[in-house]
Amino acid sequence: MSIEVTRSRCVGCGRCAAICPGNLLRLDKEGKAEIRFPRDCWGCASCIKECPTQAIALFLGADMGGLGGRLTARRENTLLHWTVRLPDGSEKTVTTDSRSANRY
Amino acid sequence: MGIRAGAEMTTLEMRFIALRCKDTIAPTGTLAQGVGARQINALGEVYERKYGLTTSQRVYGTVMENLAGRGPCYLRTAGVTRGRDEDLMKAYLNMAPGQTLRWLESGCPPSARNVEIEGTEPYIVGGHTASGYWVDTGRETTVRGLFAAGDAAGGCPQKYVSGAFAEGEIAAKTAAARYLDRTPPAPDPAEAEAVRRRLEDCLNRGAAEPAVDDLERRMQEVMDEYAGGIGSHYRYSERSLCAALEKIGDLERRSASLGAGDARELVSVLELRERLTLCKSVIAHLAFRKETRWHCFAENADYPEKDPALLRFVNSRLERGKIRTFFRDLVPKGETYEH
Repeated sequence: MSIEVTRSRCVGCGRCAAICPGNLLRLDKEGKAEIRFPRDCWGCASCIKECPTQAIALFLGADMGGLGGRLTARRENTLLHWTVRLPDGSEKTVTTDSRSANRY
Repeated sequence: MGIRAGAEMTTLEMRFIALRCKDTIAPTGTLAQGVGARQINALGEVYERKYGLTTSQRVYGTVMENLAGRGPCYLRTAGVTRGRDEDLMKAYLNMAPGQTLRWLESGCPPSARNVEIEGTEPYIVGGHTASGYWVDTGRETTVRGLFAAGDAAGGCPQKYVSGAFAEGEIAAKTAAARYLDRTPPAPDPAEAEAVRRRLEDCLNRGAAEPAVDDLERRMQEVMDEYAGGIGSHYRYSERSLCAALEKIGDLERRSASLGAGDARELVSVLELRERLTLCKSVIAHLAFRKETRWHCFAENADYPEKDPALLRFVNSRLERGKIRTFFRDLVPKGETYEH
């Protein structure tokens, strides 16, 4: 489980680097987010939820049976719209609401 | 670091092993308790009732079914309603999004396919465990002026985040009450110089053979194979623990000559040395508890039964380079413990 940054979408706001609990992200020389130690990422998705431009995606590595999907999130007030983009280009979206986060 | 300073430690032998979704290591409680999914083996038989429903029994049952050739094991989610699918997808996005990603990218939501389960690697320190520093009621360790809270404070399992916050507050208040009017002793200049030189030596050597990653991997393999890791079905014996101790000793000697190319690698080197120190304490604790009080968490092949006389804490202290292990009685209900 790790994350990948789409450089063309990154606006260099640095929110991902500030929130990463493992200190694994930083801005590179061109001011774009980069993950320095992908193997140390435990997939908490904090950076994905913080990223305002959906430049960071969670993926399941091939070594754990991942099928190539990329998960991003877009925040809208208390809502998070999670989208999985599959290798064939199709997308699926599930929306969560932080107001009902303790329902389960 | 605390172990080397001679702090009393407790319960390192009661490793926590979670029952998790295979690969994504997502928690299973929401499936088992939330939608009532039963643990089934590959033949479709519900086996959880055979072994019991505590976490340790759920993991143990899964190990035993696999060993008997009736694996892989699953939580039976197939057949839950579409509405439940949606609820579960959302619940896992909140706590372990990798699992929802798995459901979405495979096109198989919980209702379409049972979720495969497995025990994790043993966790030595964490929110579920009772391991850590032996603390008094104010959360002071046996090293004067050193406090511990949450995962670091031992003796009480399953404190989680809220418990850690509460303990942090208790520790801070005690520290203020006991030490606020004292001036901390200045560091001994010779000792500070020795630490500086050790760190600089490591950096001056630069990245070289052996690589810290290689030693780390070897350490994990040794603990897995000889000290009851997932690869040995969490089982160990006195002989295997002796082998583990010898091999960890070899690694410790090799780690003395490690070099670091930059500050990050230096941290990795220091972390590895700390872990090797902890390994030796864990091995000593596992060897001292001559019973199997909790399946998998401490599965002692030499002593497969629970011994009622050992309803006690196993504690340890590093004294003159040797780990001394001993028992401490539980504190009776309504009473408190002070050093």
